[in-house]
Amino acid sequence: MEGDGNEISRLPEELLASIISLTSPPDAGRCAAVSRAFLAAADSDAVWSSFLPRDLPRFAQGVLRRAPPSKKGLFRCLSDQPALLPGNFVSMWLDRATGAKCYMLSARSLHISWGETRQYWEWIKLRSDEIQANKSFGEAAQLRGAWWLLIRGEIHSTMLSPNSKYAAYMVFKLADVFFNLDFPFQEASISVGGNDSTRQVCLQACVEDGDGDDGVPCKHILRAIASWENQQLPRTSYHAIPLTDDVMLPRKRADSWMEVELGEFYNGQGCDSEVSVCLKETEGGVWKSGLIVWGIEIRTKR
Amino acid sequence: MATREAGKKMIMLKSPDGMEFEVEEAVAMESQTIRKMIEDDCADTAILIPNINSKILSRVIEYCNKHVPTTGATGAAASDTVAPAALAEDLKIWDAEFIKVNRATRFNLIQAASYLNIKGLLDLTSQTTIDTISDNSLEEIRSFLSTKNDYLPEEEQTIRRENQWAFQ
Repeated sequence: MEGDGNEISRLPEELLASIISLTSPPDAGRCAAVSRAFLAAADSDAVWSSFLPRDLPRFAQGVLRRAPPSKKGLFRCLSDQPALLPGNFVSMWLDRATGAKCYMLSARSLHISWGETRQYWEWIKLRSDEIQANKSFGEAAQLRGAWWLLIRGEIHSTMLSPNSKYAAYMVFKLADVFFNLDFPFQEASISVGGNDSTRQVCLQACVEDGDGDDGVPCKHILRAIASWENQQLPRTSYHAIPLTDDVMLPRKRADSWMEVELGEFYNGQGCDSEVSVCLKETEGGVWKSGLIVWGIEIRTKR
Repeated sequence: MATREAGKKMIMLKSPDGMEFEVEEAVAMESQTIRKMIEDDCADTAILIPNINSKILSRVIEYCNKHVPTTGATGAAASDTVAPAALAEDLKIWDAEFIKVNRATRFNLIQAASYLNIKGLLDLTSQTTIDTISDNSLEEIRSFLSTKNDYLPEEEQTIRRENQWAFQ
């Protein structure tokens, strides 16, 4: 007989549930497979209500057409793929590890200088398989060419989860033709309630995890690609540009887009201010081209 | 029997196995359940605590004795001489010693802390379980919590598949 007094399964389901709700969503997911008693507690609404944000935003019509049957189902649904908010310009999902709210601001929801002037920027439709794979926005903004590059996104801190560390990322690609997105470096900044932080980023570059034993990441600047003899390409060799550690470089994402971290911030308890994220290069006086902006992601960072 | 000693109100707690414990009212009121009984005047002279045997009840009282806020005649003197940070540190060390018990006792303490609604004790007794769940594989969780896997193999496969994301 099992009743040797050691069995945690002897604990009432509510008590086991309250203990599991103090762990994390993945822990609770694993607990379901421990035993039947654990399954009952680990799948309970009491546990998953505690992982779901208390204030979920309103979603666009039809996003949660079939309401998930349980709190766990709702959590899974919102952590598996982004859900569009009304207006279809912003999407939200839950960080699987913590249940914190993460957002993507589509290019349409961003402020892009001269974004509506076709001479400088054009709006391109993404292929349907790309949209399907990412369950997200079908449009991106492509920089045809400009001296003045300025992109800004905003979100209110109350939309984010409290007591969480966040980072903002520009999600982008380089077009078939691109140049002058390496140097001068772009300036990225994040402002939260008047506190600014600024860093340098280089869009026309890439960092990959090193494959050597030393684990030193491999960084390189991408050589500009021009389809014609372009007089404005820099004459300096790209080898000459120093890539110091304080310059943020893009990484390739699983969905084949690139992303570069624009900055990070801590969203404290009861924080009530605008979070403004900005990327710009307006002082170099060079004609830049070939940036395709999909949006800005604001997600938790561990 | 409730008595008065040096102006302190005493409460009698009785376990189902017939043991009686005389404790200061302030100590007993560390338990929100008992506090409510006293405030609702349900506590006459003695309170029967069901489901908690004398061995566990005595440990609970030991915990409450240590954690009752040090106010009043003797408490004031103590907090004048000892810095709050040092007191907190002392409590932490005491808690760490207190929780060095076998698994059966720990689960009994969890149940007692839950029934008596003593948040500090519930957090303390649950923490080891939370750590076990957070840091270990399924097999280790079962072994550390001595929980038997009562799934059929195909059932476990299904549950694992449904929760695949949590195993990544």
